[in-house]
Order: sequence, then C-alpha cells, then structure tokens
Amino acid sequence: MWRQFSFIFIAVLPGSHALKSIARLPAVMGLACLLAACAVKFVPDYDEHLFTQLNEQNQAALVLFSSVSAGSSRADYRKFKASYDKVIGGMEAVRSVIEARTIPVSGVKLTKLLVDLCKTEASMADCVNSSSRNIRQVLDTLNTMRDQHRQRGLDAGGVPLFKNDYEMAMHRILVVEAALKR
Amino acid sequence: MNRDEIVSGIASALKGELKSGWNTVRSLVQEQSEAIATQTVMVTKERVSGSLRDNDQLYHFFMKQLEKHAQNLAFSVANLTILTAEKAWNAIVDVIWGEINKALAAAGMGKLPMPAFG
Repeated sequence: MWRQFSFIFIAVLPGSHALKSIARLPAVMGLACLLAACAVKFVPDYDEHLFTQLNEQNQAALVLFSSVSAGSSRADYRKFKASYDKVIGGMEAVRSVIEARTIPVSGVKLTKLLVDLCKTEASMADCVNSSSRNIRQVLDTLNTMRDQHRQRGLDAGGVPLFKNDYEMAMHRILVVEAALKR
Repeated sequence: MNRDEIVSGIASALKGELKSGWNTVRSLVQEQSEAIATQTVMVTKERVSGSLRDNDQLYHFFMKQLEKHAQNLAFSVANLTILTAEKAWNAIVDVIWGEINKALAAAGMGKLPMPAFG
C-alpha cells in the first residue's frame, strides 16, 4: 500500500526530486508491511556456513581460554603458540567473510535517506524537533484559509480540504509532542 | 551487584521502549498515509468538478501542501526514531550505571558519572 502512496506522491508532484526520495522512505523502511506481506531486508542474510565457522572458532577460543584458566607462565607460552595461531587465524578468516558479504541495498538506502534527510544544519534541527516544520505548515493552512475566506469566501467543498490539511500537520505535532513525555 | 537483575532490567527496559517507539511510528505512518490519500482524492475531485476548478492559486497551494506533508512526515518519523534511540540508550545506561553506583555507594566509594553518548 505504501508503494501505492509513494507512487501517488511521485505522480502528482513530478517536479520534486527531494519528494521522490522522501516518498520512497516509507517503502524503503518496509512500512509496506503494514497491510501486506513483505520481505524487505535491511541487514545481511543468515549464512549457515559462516555460522558454523563462527561456532567452530568460538569453540577453539574457549578451549584456549580453558587451557589457561588456572594461569600459565611465560615459559609455557610455547605450548600454546599453535593454539593462538589457530584461533586468531580462524577468527581472521571469519572476519573476512563477514566484511565481504553482501549488504542489502534497502538497508544502505535507508541509512542514506536518513543521512540525507538530516544532513544540513537546518534539517538536523528538524530531525530532532519536527514540530517546528509542522507548526509552520499548520500556520500556512490557517493563513491561507483566512485569506481565502476574506477574498473569495469559503466553499462548502473547500472547507474539508483545509480541515484535513490542518489535521494532518496537527496530528504529527500531537504524536511527537506526546512521545516527548519521558 | 546482581547480574541477573541487570540482565532482566535491561531486557525489560529495552523491550518496553522499543515496542512503544515502533508502535508510535507505525500508527502515525498508517494514519497519515490514509489522510494523505484522502486529501489527494479530495483535491483532485475538487479540481475536476468542485471549488478548485476555477481557483488555480488554491489548487497549487494544496498540491504544495501535499508535498510538505510527505516531507514533514519523514521528519516526524526521523524525530520519533531518534527519540526511540535516546530512550533505548538511557534505559541501558540507567540500569548498568545504576547498579554500578549502587555497589560503589555500598562500599563507600564515589559515584561514576553517567557516560556521554557518542
């Protein structure tokens, strides 16, 4: 459903590149899951081979810890050198697999969108104080409604447009401000 | 200092904060999506055969508002996400440093300051 809404935003407001990015945000975030099954992934897949390797290396490391649990002198290090090599070498191999695996595009996009959204000085403030933008939008609605009323009068069909417009922005303010109670 | 109490304290604090945070975002997005879709339909209908048919200025105002609603919803979601992260951080820090400071106080030692984020 969110994909549909994203499509609506993009279709009705074709000139805005920023809007296209923002309209994709809910879809990217997997909020399509709200009303339909979805399979969005932000993080890598489970890798059974990697998991097995991890368990094997973990076991080897725990054996090493166990073998020195009563303490071990400097002179005894030679006895454990091969174990250290095996554990550290094995962990290095696991690290290379973890670092080389595919990262889901959606996860990268989500991160990028949030970074993009909050990257300027002004938008950084809006990301932690979004009511500032929303209250300005409430005022835009009320001022425009007043001007319309004064200049042309209000048509019965137009009032619900102003009301819905107002309620959307006010709803966001109320939700965020209520969440700030902590 | 009881290890199990620390573990269950963190688990219950995080569970509550994350569940509550996500529920807030989810219901906000759901309700806003319905309202934005409704507004889109209403504006289009009024443009085709209603009060906006001969009022270009107002029609463009409402179209611009739709763009702002989409943008501002994204900022509100970001805001709530950051707030949830803040609550999760504080929940963990409160439990861990609370237990440490309790133990230090019992031993007559000075308290550790809460760690700064980042």
